Amino acid sequence: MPSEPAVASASTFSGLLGPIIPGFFGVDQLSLTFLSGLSVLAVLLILSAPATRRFFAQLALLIFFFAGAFGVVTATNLLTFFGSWELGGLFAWGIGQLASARSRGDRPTALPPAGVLGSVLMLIGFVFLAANRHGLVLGPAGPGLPRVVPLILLLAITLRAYGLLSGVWLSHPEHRFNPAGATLAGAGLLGLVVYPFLRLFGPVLGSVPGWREPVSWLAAAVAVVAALAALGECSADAESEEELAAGVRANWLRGQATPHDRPIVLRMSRLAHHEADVRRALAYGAFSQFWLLVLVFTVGTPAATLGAISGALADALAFTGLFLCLGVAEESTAQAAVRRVGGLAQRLPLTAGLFVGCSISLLGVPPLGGFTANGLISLAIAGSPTLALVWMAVTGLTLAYLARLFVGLFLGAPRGPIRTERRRSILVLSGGILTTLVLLGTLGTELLAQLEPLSPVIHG
Amino acid sequence: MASSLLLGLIVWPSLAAIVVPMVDRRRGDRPSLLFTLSHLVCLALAILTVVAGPETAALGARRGPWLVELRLVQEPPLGLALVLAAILLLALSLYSRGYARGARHGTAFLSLLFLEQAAVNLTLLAGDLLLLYAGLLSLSLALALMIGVDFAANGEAAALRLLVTLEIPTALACSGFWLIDARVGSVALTDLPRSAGWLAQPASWTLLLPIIVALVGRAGLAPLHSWAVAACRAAASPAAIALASIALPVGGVVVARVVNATLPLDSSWLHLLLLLGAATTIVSGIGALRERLALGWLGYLAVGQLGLAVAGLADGATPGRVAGWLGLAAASLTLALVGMGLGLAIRATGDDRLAALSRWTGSWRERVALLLGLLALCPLPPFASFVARRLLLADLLASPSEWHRLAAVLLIVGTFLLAVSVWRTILGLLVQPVVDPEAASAPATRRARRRLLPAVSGATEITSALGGVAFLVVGLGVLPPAWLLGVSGLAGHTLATDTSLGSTALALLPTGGGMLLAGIAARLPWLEGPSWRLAKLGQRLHLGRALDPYLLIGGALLAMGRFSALTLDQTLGRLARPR
Repeated sequence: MPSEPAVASASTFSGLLGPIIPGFFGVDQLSLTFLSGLSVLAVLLILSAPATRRFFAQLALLIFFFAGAFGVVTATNLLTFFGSWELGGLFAWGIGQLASARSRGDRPTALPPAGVLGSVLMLIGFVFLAANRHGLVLGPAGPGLPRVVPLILLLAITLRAYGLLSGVWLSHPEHRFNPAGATLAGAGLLGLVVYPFLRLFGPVLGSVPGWREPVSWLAAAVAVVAALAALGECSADAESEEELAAGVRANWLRGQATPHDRPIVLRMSRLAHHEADVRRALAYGAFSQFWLLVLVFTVGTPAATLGAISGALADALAFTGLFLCLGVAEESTAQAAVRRVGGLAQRLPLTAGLFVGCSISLLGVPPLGGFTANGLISLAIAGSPTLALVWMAVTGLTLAYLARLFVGLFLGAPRGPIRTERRRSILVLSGGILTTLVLLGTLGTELLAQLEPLSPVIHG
Repeated sequence: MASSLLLGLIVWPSLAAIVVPMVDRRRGDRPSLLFTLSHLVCLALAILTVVAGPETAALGARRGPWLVELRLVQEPPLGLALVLAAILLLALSLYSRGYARGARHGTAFLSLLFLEQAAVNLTLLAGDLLLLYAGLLSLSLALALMIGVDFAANGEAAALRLLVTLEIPTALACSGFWLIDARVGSVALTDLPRSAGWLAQPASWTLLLPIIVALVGRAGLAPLHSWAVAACRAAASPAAIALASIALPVGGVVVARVVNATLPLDSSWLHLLLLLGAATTIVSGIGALRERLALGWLGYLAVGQLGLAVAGLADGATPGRVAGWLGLAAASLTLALVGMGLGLAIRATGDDRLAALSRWTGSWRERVALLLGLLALCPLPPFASFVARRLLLADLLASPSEWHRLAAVLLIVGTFLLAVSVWRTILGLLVQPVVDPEAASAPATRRARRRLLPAVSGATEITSALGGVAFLVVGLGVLPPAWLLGVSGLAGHTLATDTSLGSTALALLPTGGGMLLAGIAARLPWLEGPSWRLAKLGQRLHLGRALDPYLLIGGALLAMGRFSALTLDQTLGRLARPR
């Protein structure tokens, strides 16, 4: 099991560190780690592009999106950071639009207010930072920074995260395979949300007092609420619940049933009226995991930092795999609602295998990627019973919604026709994702040794 | 060499689960002998591991201060459990090969048996809590897939119930394992008794509670028993047998490993487990009397046997533990035998109701095998389950603790109820059909399956599987338990010689009472009418649902989930929608 680091070891990749364009772009240990993760995701997603209908448009958008993400990860200047962040966000929106467009002539919808507001808030935060540092270098904030700046930046990152994830569940009228969900919830969260959070709240705001405790409480609450929302989303949809609730009422009036005839949820189901969508459920799950990582990071110990970083990499890969599975399932059934899909393991066995592999990585089972992260997270939060309880609650809820999704999608009676999967493409994608997750899990000690010098960098 | 064997026990079945179906696909419509041969290799590996003696294998890597290590351990009782599991899975594979020939998902099911073999081996060999979790998770996945493999709607619900009931507490327990690791630096099963003494303090209940709940669910103890019954009802016969005779007893072994040898539990936790085990026998006895479907009945019997075994394991004294281990082994074998017999009856009659057993006209070999299993379940001497019951009751009643005596009384009542249910079925099978007023009018739920699967009565594979398991059921009763479980010294001498008339009579009392009542009821058919009406009344009152934690907690969580989704959608969602 991983134990607390005692001595720093030299990184074998130190030759790769240093400025790319001095004053604008450069690579340190944190950048290098995220660049590696993003590169793996870029290769996998570009490999999946030929399976989409508009290959060249998809490829171009993916290339520009990853250019933005790489720019964010390597930026050493407030301007280049903000510019790359905007570029990445814009092309992420484009990827979502391409997936939801019915035909070439469709006009794109307006930019979502969440993304726009996030950009404005980030700009305001950066203005304060530039004023504080008397320059544009992305470095540690000095004394005198207003206490509201960390909250502004956190809100900006949150809105960007929600904006990206809301692109995941845009309707796909053609029900063709597309990697939009996988790109936005995997690489999008990793490059445009988790990395900016770690960079800004680590080296930049690490020495600013007063933000850790409120952020910690907020993160705990949102992580649990989002995991609950994911579970609620993948339950039966509003229509069927309404039917069943009406049936219960009718039986009750006729004296043929007791209040225990249906689970409590059926009588409270009128709270929600939108149709349950598997992508929305998984997007809430990704949101919950992001806030769990934020919670861990706020502990501020070296183990917490390394746990958040390795957790982010493992989660990004796992959610990429899970969303690719949903894409394949949607293409095979032309459906996205939970209750209209079922029995897919019969026709999509490889997809089912990939779903299981990614799910158990999220749960931290050896030898997959989440295993190393969970070891570090447990070290970080062992001293705080509250954090431990939140972690346990999120883990339990994560398992609940993943089990519900797996059983609902892949087991049971098939509902409607199912097309067979494109085995070669799925085999390549599954192999890539699962191999990377296994490498993350089995070479955990190597990864930790490389990441170890990061902790003092991040926490100053 | 021995450590390679330990790894081989996990790697071989995992590889076989992938490779054998791929090779087999080219052969045609019937599963080939490759499945059987691969199970034979698993059995050979298990035997070689036991012969090689106790062994530990560590899989790990160290880089600087970072160490990641996972351990596999083979100890004497676990070695025998490995062999027994390999034999049962071989028998089940043979049986399923005959049973599922020509079925659409027969090959997939046979490969899932390899996955179950790998999961069982990993669970039994796990030397630390994290590998134990990995093994249990794999086992749950294998079971969920087996239940859902026929892609029926009730299979989906049962698989979800299984995964949620078993895996959510286990995931919480796994988080607890990580926290224990963070505090003491190890989760190796051999280190924890020394280093985790603080877990016995009352302040540690938040860590212990999920572990205990997970163990209760795994062993199918009340009130977390209904997943096993629902899964057996929904599954095809071979999957129900795999669950009742292998997965549930493996849950019992996990209880034995964690409760007795690993976690320094406070005596109140042990009393809780003891009473839950005893109460489970009563719950399962009542359930078995009410149950109409043959495989649901098998599920209740399995839960009842596990309740008895766990009561023994939580007893704390050597005779109780021996009774627990012996009860697990005996339950495993007898449930497999009974399950195979019931499966054949379902196939032959095309009806999955218990009442249809009276119409079964299988060969004498199959009927004798089923009868043998049922007699062992009663339990009657000289079967091992009777020896386990005798040891347990004598030990509990001799204890000065009031809790132990209360558990003994509950166990006597539970044994009585189970004996009534089993003997009622034996009479239905041999003498007189069970009276079911609705039997004639209600349609059989699985009539369709009869058309898909022709009767296979007399197939060589099935006869071999039944004969092999029946031989072991008898053999386990003949061999002395002390020798079998490697108990030596004074305890072994006591076990070998303790056949006093008092303890034998005590163990026979509930079984004999149950047989008598079932016999009288069979002669007085008018007694059956009121009992069915009572059962229906219970169903109308929804007693089971009102007390079912799956529905109560699951329903509350789903309601909170919908509310949370709505809240998030209303707060952040408006900002995310384009205007």
